[in-house]
Amino acid sequence: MKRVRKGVVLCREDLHVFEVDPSLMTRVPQDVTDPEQTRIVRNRWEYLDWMHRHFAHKTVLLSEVTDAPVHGPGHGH
Amino acid sequence: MATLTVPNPVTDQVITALEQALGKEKVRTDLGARIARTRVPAPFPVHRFAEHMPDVVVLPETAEEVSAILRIANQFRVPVVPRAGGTGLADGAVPLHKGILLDIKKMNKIIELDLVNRTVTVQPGLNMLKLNEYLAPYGVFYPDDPASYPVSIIGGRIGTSGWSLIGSRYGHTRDLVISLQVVLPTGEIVRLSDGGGAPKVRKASTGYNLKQLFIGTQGTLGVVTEATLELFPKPEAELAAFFGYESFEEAYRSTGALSTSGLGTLAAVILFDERKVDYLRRDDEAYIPLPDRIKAVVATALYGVEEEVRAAANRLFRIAKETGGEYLGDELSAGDWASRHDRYATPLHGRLPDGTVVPMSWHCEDAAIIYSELPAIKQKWHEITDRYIQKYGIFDNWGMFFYSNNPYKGWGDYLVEIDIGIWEQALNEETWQAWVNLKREITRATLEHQGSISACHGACREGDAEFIPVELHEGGFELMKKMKRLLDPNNILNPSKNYLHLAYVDEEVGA
Ligand SMILES: Cc1cc2nc3c(=O)[nH]c(=O)nc-3n(C[C@H](O)[C@H](O)[C@H](O)COP(=O)(O)OP(=O)(O)OC[C@H]3O[C@@H](n4cnc5c(N)ncnc54)[C@H](O)[C@@H]3O)c2cc1C
Repeated sequence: MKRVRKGVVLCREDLHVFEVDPSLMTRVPQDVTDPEQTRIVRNRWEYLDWMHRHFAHKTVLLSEVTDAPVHGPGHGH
Repeated sequence: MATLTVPNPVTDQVITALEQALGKEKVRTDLGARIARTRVPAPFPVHRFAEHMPDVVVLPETAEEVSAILRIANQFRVPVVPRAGGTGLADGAVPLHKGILLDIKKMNKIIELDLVNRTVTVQPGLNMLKLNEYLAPYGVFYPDDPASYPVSIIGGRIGTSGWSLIGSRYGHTRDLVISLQVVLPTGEIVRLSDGGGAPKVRKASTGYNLKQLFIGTQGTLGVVTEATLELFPKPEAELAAFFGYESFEEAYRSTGALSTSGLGTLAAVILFDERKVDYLRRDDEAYIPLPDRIKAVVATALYGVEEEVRAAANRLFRIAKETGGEYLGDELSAGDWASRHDRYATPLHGRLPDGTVVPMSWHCEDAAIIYSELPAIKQKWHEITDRYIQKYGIFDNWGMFFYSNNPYKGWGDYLVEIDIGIWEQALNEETWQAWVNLKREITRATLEHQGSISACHGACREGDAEFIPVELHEGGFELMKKMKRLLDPNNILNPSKNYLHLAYVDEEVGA
């Protein structure tokens, strides 16, 4: 678990999962297992992909069309 | 002053009459059915839950059944509240006087698809996602796209006059409804369109344009039982581009430049203020890694034919760069845009002033504000909200959004939204009243800045509703009262919403 900014920790580097610092979660403690977290993250991505397809036949990215960078300033945290 | 109509309670006689008209299976008096239809997701006085629970739930399937329900309600003088998805954020579907809750979800049939004239006629209990799944094989699309897209329902979209995320390209609910079948409060079934009675004609000049009168009326003037809707070709391509800025002022100016660009494929321009970015950096995976120099964000989206979208993207990028924008990358842009169609996934937790997490419900206070007033309204709304947070400690400021709000163009007025977390379990009468007062102060600021109380949710909650007569002071509210009393003589349809109980107060009696 790595602190990334005040009150936020990176708890799964592989999946880019951030969490509220556990010291701030004492009133509503959370206990999500690794497999469960993996399932939630994968389902979320699948759901967002579905949304793209539902609203348009194709998703075009700004970096494909212009000289905009693929990655934004927060990349690689 | 005397109130001319006081709603009666629902008696066994009323239940029997409903069962005879609809059949027992469509009339539910069990607690589960009633509890599930008492509130909506907006913050609620949970300590007064029982006051709002309907006495009976009815689930009609046809206009004739709706007509029968309304006739019974008139006969016994009991209130009827229409409810669609129950996702409205202004309590339109919440009973204020108990009574009959008319749930339209079983009226979910597709009546006719007309590909030649590009219309689809549906019952109002259908939701847009299901409709678009049906339409997809035909290459057409119904583009009403609220952030509650998977769960809100066509009847409720019409009842609230909803705002769509991609409305700057395709229009909002009111622009997408071609004609309506409505059951009036007294039970008559009528067909209304853009003047005249031709159900598929979009623009007519015959008679009154009565269709619009029944859009956004929160079920106070009639129950929509059928709607003929506009169809577009399903977009070939979408492109979302999010830009970061070092100050709100810079992002605000960029919003103005982007929204007046004249790009025909531009579907949305959304400005996130500093407090929204702070909130997202605190609690949203996609924004947590953003460097601190990014203080405000502008999100844009293009939809249409692929060649047009590609060409427009170049112009869009150029304008954003020239006005100080830094592209936030493909992953954040595409991912965050896709998630905007469904904000139910928003984590419903908030922070107490010391940073600890508690479960919170989400209040979205909305207003329609012209571009020139956005900076001032931002400052005032935050000042008000922060003052209440400091005093009561059970609210949390989740920042503000400013969305392009007008059909077929980016400029004009903006749907302004401040999101506030509320720790509902900690509510009591004192803190509930504090909450209502917070809303009142926000509404006053809106009116001081030439705004309208609500852009899309409606103004029927306490804290908003009492200001409708103020906003419509140049004769508009007087006309609303006359129309309500004319169409609903016994005040049975969604009574007291929009402050329309005043339509039934005889001012001369007590004078
Ligand atoms: C996460 C989330 C995101 C949201 N995002 C948006 C957004 O982007 N844009 C937006 O506009 N709204 C948004 N909303 C608010 C809400 O989804 C809309 O107001 C929606 O239009 C309500 O639809 P509903 O089916 O839930 O209606 P309900 O809440 O059930 O009803 C809304 C009103 O319509 C009336 N009504 C229902 N059916 C009929 C009928 N057949 N005839 C006459 N009146 C009727 C009801 O009495 C009530 O007054 C959001 C809500 C949530 C929870």
